[in-house]
Amino acid sequence: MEMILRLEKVSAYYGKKSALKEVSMSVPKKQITAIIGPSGCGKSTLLRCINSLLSEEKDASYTGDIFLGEKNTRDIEGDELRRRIGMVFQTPSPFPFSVYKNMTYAPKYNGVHSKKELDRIAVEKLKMTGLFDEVSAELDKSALKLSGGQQQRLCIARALTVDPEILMLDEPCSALDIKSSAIIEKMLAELKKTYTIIIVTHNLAQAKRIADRTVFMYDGHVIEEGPTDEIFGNPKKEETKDFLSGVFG
Amino acid sequence: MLKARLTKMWAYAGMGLVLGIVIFIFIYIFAKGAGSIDLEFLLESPRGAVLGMEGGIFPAIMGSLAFTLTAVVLGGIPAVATAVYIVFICKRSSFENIIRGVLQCIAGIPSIVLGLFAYSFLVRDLAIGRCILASSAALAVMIMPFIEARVEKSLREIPQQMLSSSYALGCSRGYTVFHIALPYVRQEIISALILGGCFAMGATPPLIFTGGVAFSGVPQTLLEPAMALPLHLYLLVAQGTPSLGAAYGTAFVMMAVILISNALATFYGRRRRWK
Ligand SMILES: Nc1ncnc2c1ncn2[C@@H]1O[C@H](COP(=O)(O)OP(=O)(O)O)[C@@H](O)[C@H]1O
Ligand SMILES: [Mg+2]
Repeated sequence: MEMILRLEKVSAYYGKKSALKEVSMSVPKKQITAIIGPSGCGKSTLLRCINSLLSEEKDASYTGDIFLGEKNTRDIEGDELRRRIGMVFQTPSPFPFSVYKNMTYAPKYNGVHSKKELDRIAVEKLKMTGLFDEVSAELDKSALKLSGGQQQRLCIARALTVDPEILMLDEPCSALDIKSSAIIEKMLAELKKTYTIIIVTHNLAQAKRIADRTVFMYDGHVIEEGPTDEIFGNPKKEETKDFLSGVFG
Repeated sequence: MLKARLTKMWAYAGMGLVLGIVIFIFIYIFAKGAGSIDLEFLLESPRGAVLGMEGGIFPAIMGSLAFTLTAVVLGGIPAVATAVYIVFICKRSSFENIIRGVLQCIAGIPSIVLGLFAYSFLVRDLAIGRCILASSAALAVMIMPFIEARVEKSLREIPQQMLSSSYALGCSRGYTVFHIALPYVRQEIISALILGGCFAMGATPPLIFTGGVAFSGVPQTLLEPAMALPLHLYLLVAQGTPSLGAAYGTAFVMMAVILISNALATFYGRRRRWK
């Protein structure tokens, strides 16, 4: 199995407070990796280390090495790294302009200016997220007018406009109803043919349904990682068993 | 129980007193000043044996506009830039605190000292002479921290995930600032500039050595001195009884301008954007 992303002893700090403690893990290519664990255990921080968003934050930093393919991410420009590793956040946060402008925001930054090419990107990625049929008539409408689930799919489509290799989603469904979540799950299963997906989720059933591989985190540590069936069916560590049986979290 | 009620009463009484004073001042000024206001007062130059006794305040209105607009441009640009720097670019809180300290110092400088500085540095050392530009530079320094604080506050209120989404797409800070952040707070910035303008319009000390004069025509360039409403008001009162009526009229005009501007600023600040 080819690993596209490898973390070696990654520790993260907010000021003096440590939020990740020597985390090592790896992410297989073109599969879905779920990260689970109680809130505050460092899941979001981990994602922000991977795309180096953390170093853009005030007084935050991380140590250790992260490899994207063979390359240490410290040797990749932050902007370039983030272009290659997309991220979608918990609350749907479309930019407050039209659906179409949301889709062309990043391509334009990357120097794509021909209307034809921009249209192609917008349509292709909206189709990938199943949003195109729903919004094709109103691409000029404000993205804020879409429903919550549609907004989140727009954010996913927007993240795809720069053709990332990895797509990270931080609890993408926690603000959505069951039906919207189901649409997104189906879509992710489809997207993994093209992209590597890392999803942080609070919803254990969701992880079980969609993830090929699951990583369990607790208090800044990766406690256990492995194929989803094994983690859920036959956990080896006490903390994992406790968490899965709902003792904490 | 009693203590709580007393505290409440004290709070209400204080609020009532302040509100009462403000309303009284407005009514008083408007009542006394309304009589002097007519087209001649608004559109002609001051005249009379005691200057300002007859005629109007037109050059002072235009002068004040020139001082204020120039100050808003000179002060607003660095204010917005500083706010952007503090919120988006500066990564160390220690450095941020230093900048904040400096801004607070500037905000604390008495405006007469700013006037003196502009006089000795711009008017004398750089020899640009007494002019609107020199005064506006002093006014700009005065209103800069005021505008900066408001813009900074509104920048901090932008939802973090929206900014992060832009960074997460691989877009730079600069692109994010110009395409997301500044458009998002455009109305707050306009509102901050208007309020800063009101602040500058009411200030006299920075003008008196630097570019404000007792009498002149409507200014044609920024390199000549001009009349200004607050300075004119001061002189009208200083001359005593004959010109006192005109003084109230001038006060009326200033208060009206400031009231309208404040209303505009509030209106702009409230209207939600990009819906
Ligand atoms: N911006 C921040 N500043 C300071 N501490 C933070 C910040 N973000 C997160 N933390 C802390 O880091 C720890 C991990 O947070 P996070 O990665 O958000 O956890 P999770 O996503 O698993 O809920 C928590 O204890 C949290 O309080
Ligand atoms: Mg989180």
